[in-house]
Amino acid sequence: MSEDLSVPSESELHRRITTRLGDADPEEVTAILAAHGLDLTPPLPARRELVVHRLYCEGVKRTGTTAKDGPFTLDIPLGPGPWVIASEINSAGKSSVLWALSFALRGEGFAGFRRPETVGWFHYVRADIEVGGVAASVRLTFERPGRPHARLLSADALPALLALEGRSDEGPGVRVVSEAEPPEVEALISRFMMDRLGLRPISVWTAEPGAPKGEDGQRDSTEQVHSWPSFFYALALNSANDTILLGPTTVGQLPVRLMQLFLNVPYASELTRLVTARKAELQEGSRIARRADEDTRAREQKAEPLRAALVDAQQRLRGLRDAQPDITALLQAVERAAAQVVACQDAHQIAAGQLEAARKNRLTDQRAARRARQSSAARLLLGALDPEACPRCDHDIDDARRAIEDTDHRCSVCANPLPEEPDDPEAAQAALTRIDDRLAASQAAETRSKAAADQAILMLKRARTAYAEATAALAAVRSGEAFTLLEQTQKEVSQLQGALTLAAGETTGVLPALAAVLSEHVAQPAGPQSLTDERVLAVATEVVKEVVDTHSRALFTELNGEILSIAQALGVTNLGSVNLNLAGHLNAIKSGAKHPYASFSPVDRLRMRIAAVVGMVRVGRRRGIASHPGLLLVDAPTADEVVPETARQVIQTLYDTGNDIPGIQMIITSIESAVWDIFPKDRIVTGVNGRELF
Amino acid sequence: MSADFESDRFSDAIRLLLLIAAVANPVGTPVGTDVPANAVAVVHVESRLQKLDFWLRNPDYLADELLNDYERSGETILLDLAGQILDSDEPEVCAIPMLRYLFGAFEYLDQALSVLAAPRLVVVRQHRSQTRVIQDSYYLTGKGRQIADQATAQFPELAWYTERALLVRALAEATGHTALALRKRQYLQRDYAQTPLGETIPSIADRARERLTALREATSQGAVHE
Repeated sequence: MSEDLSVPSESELHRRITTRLGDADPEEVTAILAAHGLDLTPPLPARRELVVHRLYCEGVKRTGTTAKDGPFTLDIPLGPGPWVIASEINSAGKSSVLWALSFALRGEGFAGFRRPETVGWFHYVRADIEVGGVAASVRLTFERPGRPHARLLSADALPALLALEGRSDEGPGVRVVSEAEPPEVEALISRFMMDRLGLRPISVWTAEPGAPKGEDGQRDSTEQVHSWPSFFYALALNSANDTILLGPTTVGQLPVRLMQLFLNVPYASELTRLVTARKAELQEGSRIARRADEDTRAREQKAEPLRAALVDAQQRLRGLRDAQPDITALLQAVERAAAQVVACQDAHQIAAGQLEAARKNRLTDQRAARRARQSSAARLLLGALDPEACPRCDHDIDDARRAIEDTDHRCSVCANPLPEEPDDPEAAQAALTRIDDRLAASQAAETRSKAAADQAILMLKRARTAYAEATAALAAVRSGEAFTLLEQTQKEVSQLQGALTLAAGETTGVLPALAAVLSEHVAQPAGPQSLTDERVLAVATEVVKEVVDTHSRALFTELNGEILSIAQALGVTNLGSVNLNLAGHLNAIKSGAKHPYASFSPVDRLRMRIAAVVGMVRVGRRRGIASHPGLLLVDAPTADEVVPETARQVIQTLYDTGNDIPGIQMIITSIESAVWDIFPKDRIVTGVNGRELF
Repeated sequence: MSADFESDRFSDAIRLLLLIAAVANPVGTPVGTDVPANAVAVVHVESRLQKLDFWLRNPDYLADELLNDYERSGETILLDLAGQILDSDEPEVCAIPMLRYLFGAFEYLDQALSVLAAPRLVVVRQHRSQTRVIQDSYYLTGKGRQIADQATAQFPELAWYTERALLVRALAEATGHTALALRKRQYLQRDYAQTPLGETIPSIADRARERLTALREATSQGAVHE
């Protein structure tokens, strides 16, 4: 072997990881790995050996048709080397015996060996075994078909167990180690076998059905932990129709993992757990991110009506504020309007006074004019009349006395001189004209005053209207209703802003108390710690995978040769080569062409499986490493084989294998006549005359 | 021409002539022995003439009295007549302020009457007891009637007195007037003691105008007296 197949120590692995991380603190790396439950201790040497020494069964056969129905007891002594459960007839119970044994060894019957009609016949199964050098006896009591109660016995030495009769579980040095009710039986056996054989569980990662795909297109996955029941597929081999080389599933490359397990590839199990831890870490991260995304979207949706309401409220608030003029300006406007009213009142008072004065003047002039005309008319009518009688005594005035007025200018009544009255019609007319002119002037003055007064009234009215408007505007602003509406709207805006902050989870610029509340709700983004975890896990996976791959490649190369020779010996015709790779592909060349495993016939698939398992045992024995436990349960290896020579060759090979390889116990079932020749009689388990076993 | 028309005896004389012409009753036939020759109509009792003259000279008092009467009777014509006077400048322009009703006023009236008596437009007859005048009678002569008619026809300023005198007489004595009910009002029986004292009876035009406004508002609101 040119490759370095030394197994690095834990500290060496840590060193490699730390170096590759560049600036990492070794202690921190160790702490992170420990926090994920990952310890990279190299596997300790284990005595991985499983030998069945006795199989004891009790039951009641119920076929309903033959006279052989009734209670039965099977007590089969076994041990290392080749064994055959043989019969000359079909339906003799060979597979059922393997099924009963598998139940005791696995904690659950192996499905490939199960014959449904016989499941209910078994009431008690006892397997005395040696596991990793420890003597144990598995006791299953079936109170219901396939649902046993289990009791695990141990003894200092195997003979003490083998000496116990039938169901007896008490003897010198024999003790009951553990017991389990039906649901826990598988777990008990699994735990016991894993502990004794130094096996660690294998984690594989399985996509969750119906899980949403992430941004990287990966579905969320769950961890599946495979343990003893899955490992048992490397022990129990049958000619079934499934196309898997090894194990119950190909998910998570389980067949390769099983081969690495049984080839004791160092850190194979740790690698699966590293991969799992890293995947869990990544997945948790992406789940957190996705949840945060969903939360954000949900918050956005929830916040949408709030946002709309806030915009509306803010708009209304702006409108209300715009509609609220500066109160100082309003006060000034009222003051100005009041001053204007006072000024107009003064002007109006003056104009009214002037009008009144003008009116009085005009009235005086009009009255004077009227009197003057009346007086003038009266004088015209009366002044020219001759006196006819004395107003005092009523005596007639004669012509002689009237003549005196003309001649002597003396009164015809009282004889006194007449007053010197210039009777000048032109002067009288001039006086009337002056009076009329004065009246016309005073009338014009009154008209002007009237116009001025009307104008003053109009101005005053306007000023009063302006004042009323100014005071009304001021009152409107000061009115409780408008102010209350403004306050209410302001409050509404504040409440909506708070609600929006909560709903949208925006913490920037909010009040400390609100931010504190929000920090409880909002998922914090992934911190640097988890980023470091992810990096450490990624690098650790890388480092460990290199070790695993190196060993796997070397061992697989060796295994390929074993598989090829064993398969050919087992009668797989025209097989040119196999090239097992790390993806679990066998890469077989048959008849010169690529031949996928699924294309082999069912019996060839069984033979390839036997070759793989036996190959692993041989490689392990040759290298001196604990690998396969050495027990093989093979059901009908020659079924469907039509060529008798080939069948004989297969039986012979299996017998030789069981005989030649140290530590192998090969238990096969067969109906081939060759078994009777090849297997010694004490290695043949059969019924009377090669008929029913029970 | 004197500017003091208040004391113009010709003006007073012509007003008295027009008043007497408007309110005098025909002397009738057969003519009594004490009736002067040429007399066509007569007004008895001086105080009556004085009271008629008072309404003639004071349109504001006349309007105020019309409002009093309207308040009592609710006759819309009275409110309208008061309105015509008070809405115009009549109280200020046409008023001839007079001394308070004192006996001394007679002299003034006599002075004006003498202007009418000398040319025999009016003849005054006094019916006396032993000690005092019981009643004066003012006879309008044919010549007085002719001058009064001439004055009314030729001078609008003077015609106003005739019209107003006829209205006042119709109100006081139910002598019939356009749109006026034939109802005798008590104006002439009312004393003037209630009028403010003083040398000159003051104008009540402003007060009467306020009453007019109030009564018009009350009327428009349906509070009409009946």
